Amino acid sequence: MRDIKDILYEICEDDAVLDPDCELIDSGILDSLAFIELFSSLEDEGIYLQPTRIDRTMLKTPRTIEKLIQDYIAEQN
Amino acid sequence: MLDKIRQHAISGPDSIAYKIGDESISYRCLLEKADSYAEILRNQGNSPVMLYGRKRINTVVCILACIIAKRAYIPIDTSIPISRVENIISIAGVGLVLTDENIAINNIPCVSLDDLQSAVISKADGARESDTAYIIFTSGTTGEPKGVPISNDNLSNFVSWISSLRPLCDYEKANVMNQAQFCFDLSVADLYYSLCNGHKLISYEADKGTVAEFIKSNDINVAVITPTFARLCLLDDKFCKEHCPSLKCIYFCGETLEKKTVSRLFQRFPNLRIINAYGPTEATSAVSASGITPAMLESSSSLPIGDCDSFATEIFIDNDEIILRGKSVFGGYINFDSKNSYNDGQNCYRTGDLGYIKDGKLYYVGRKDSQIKYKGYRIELGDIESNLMKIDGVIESAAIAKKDGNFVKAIWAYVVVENNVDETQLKAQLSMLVPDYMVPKKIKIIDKMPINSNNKIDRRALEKL
Repeated sequence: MRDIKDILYEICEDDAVLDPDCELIDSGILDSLAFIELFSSLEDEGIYLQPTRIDRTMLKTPRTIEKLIQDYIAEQN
Repeated sequence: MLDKIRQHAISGPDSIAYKIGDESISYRCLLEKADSYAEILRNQGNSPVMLYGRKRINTVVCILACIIAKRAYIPIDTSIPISRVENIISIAGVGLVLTDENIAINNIPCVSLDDLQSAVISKADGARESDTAYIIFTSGTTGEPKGVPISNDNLSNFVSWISSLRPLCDYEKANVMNQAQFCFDLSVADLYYSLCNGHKLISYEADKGTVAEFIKSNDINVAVITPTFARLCLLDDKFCKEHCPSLKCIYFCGETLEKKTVSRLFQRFPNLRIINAYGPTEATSAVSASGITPAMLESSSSLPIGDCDSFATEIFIDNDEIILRGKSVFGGYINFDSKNSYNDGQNCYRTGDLGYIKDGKLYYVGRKDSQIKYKGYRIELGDIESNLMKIDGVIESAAIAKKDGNFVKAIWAYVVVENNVDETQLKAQLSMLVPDYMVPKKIKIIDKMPINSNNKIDRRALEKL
């Protein structure tokens, strides 16, 4: 699958997301619309995460989202 | 239109007309209350009545009371900053604010419906009786909100049209989901379709659980929502036929419906009926609609926004622009000289939407100006720019929409400033002037605006900054 920072950059068009520790929620970069876009894009990549069952801290930075995806893939395998 | 609602109060007096949270009101009770408050409203003048606040049972009572009393209502929700609310009051000549919120506006009585009887109307109300049913305020290019008055005739025409759409006309008793705030004209569709057809209207409250839970627990049959909201619903795997078997139809309006969203909906709800409606606020919520089928997803064109044999008003294309004329079209803005008329003497509206008609269907291509739809809201980028210029120290401003095709992902703004101000301060000050959804996601401070060969701001160059 594509790199999470590429997905985030495509959605947010903000250089800040290239930093793995960028604060996505506190900075307002991952707003409600970007949130929808993120989960829709992940579905396109075959990653079916349930936002209602995810701890918001897992969406805090590109690095935590990467970890969330890796855990999902490991669980599927 | 009122007769239709009264008929339901006679034929099914105890049927629930409107429900929000744990509270509900029957058709009989709704009409009794609305009639009684209408009598008071009638005796207190003719000026427009602002309905300010969150959705409650009383909001629907007030709406109906205003319609009965022939006083135009102006729905405003709490996301609008008070400075803008005051501006709207001044523009529209509002004489009374009905609210359960704790607000104070200079020289205008702000009272709850329960206190209406004892409210002291401080000044003589010289407004002449009007046929305006409601006024919705939209974003205006100059930075001033633009008032769109919709007449009772416009509204009646719309109600007849939406009530004749398949499959909406097939339902005898339906539970209809209201998602939009009443200040957003998508709600005109669910409110009047539901009340005029004896259905039960139920408002969804985002802080009271997921949409799937709401649909299931309220046996929702028809959902009136925006495409963006549908995408949010689709993030929940319980938003599917197995968990929400009562959902039969979704009526979309307010922004472009994308094939990807429809495809996902058909995967979750194979027999779902989808209506894709189109229309500006100036033509009473919607003027055309098309039933969307799975076969349409295979076509190379975008999804149709209307069937030519069932338009609510006359629609034609002039120089690629969609033009509306006839019974659905408003008579002109309340605070602008220009009626946006196409032809003198007739209610005609140049939408600014580019489109075409092919094989009996209407299609949308894009906008010819800088108006955008963002999170379902209609926004003039010029409105944001003008309000940025009101902030002390800002000497130049430009706003652009970050798009993916026709879909607006975000709004960014660029400003040149002459004092020491940062992005956080700019956003905070702007949020005092415009609703939250109009505050750009990013405001970049730049040294000077890029200029093109026509001496205008080079917006393409801005996007590369």
